[in-house]
Amino acid sequence: MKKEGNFKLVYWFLPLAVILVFFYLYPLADAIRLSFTNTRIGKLDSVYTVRSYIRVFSDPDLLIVLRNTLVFVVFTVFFQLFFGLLVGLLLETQLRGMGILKVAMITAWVVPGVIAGITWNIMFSSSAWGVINNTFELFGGNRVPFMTRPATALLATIITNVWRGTGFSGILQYGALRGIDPQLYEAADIDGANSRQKFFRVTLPLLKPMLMINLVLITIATVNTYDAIWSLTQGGPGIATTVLSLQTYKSTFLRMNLAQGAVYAVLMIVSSIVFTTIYLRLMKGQDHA
Amino acid sequence: MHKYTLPTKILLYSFFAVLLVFFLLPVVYIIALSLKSAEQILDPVHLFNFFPKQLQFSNYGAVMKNIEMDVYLLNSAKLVVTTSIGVLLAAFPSAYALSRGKFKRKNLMLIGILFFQMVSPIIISIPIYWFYSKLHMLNTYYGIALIYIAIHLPFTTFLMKGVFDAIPEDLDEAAKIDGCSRFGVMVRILIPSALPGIASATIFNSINAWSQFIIPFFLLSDNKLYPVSVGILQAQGSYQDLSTHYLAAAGVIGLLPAVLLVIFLQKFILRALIAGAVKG
Repeated sequence: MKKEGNFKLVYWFLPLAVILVFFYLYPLADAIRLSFTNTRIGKLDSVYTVRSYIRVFSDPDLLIVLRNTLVFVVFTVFFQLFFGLLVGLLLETQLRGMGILKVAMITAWVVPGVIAGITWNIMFSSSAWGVINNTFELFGGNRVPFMTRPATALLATIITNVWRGTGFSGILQYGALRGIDPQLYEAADIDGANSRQKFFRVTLPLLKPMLMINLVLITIATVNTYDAIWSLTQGGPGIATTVLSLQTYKSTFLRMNLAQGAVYAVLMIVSSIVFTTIYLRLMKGQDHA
Repeated sequence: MHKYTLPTKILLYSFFAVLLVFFLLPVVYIIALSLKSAEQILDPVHLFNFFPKQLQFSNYGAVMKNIEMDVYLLNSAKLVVTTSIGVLLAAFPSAYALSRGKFKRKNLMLIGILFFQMVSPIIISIPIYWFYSKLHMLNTYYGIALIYIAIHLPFTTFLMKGVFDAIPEDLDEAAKIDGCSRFGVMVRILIPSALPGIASATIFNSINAWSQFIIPFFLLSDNKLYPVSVGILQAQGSYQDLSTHYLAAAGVIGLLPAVLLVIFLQKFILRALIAGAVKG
């Protein structure tokens, strides 16, 4: 074997390295630095201080924002995984017509987030074009002012995000399902397993690695969701649907407080890490059970 | 292949029907709404009655003219093209080195690159806003395009590394014996053999760049530079509650390019998605 003596790796990595340093590494470090200042947009002088942290942590809104984020992330992620798995299983049945579901699911996934928010906002509306409320009424139900009640507005953001995100999770689950060796099912058949046993003893354990990857990817994507919520509710009513990402924007660009925005940005990084660690722990714990 | 009993089939198809309506209804609904007249939208819709009685295509023309959707479309198209080409040029060399180079901690490096993929544009946009304002790069097309390239780079590098890995190294060796340099091998052998993978990456990046909202929304204040995703908020502002059919038409203009790509080029998108996640 010839040695790779003249392969100057540094040069090959140069474009990637330069871009990552300028647009990720430096900004990340600078976000942390800014969070320890009192920088405001349009103000030139700033000093180092921990006052932005104190202001953020003593703000009663923070608890509501964190609660919103938790509810939004947990429910969105759960239903994206659940429906994703369901679609994957339906596709795997190879029954006639199931393939349309795949296209439908990816179609929802590629709709730009802003437009997804606008569309669902129109559908949830109480006006003549509010298809959901009118359908409720048709079946004798009551009209629900989705966007003006805190709980239903949060529910609306979750539904919108599940609609958008399931395509991604479903395709990954389907890919994993296709990768399962059919001989394993045949072996289970010989052992006399029924389909429920086959699902819980063969399918689910083999899907677990992909479910875990999926869980981490979806969770981080959900913590970072911004566009669909902004065009659906703008974080309202009040701050009922303001999650960390929206709060980061509001602090930075509406209140012009770059430093406090940076504190929220740091909280976003922390929450991504916390969510991911908790999930990975939970998954690991199950292994020993 | 499995055989299913009738009750099982009925159960499976009911799940199928519910999910199909859930995924498709919003898209079909917004298209139907976009073709209605001002009188028709006042006629209450429900699940079994939302198609327009007459199709009013002029809504699209009105939107193009009144809220400058044509300008936004052009801006989006320019950003998509610049991003998909720029990101490939930046990704090729490092993907090549990751695929063919032999060095320690390669896996660690891959994980490091993927870590950046997880960082939200929201987080980096705050410091970038700060240094762009000092460099006078806010409200510039190139400033925005550079960030677009940056946020698509980690995943594209990762994807292209996988594509290069699948090309037998014997091909490189043969070309090297013929006197090709490493750069020549990459340009003449690897890139042409990687075309399907490059197509996957390009389609995937195009859809993402088309949908990108946070960067232009946070960093642009000149509406002559807005892409569709941000420009459409203007439509939401001016048309909400008055002319929802125009808002719907603007929405359809924004979602149609992405949806058409999916319908016609599904295979490429699936490949990019699965390749990215399985190896992650």
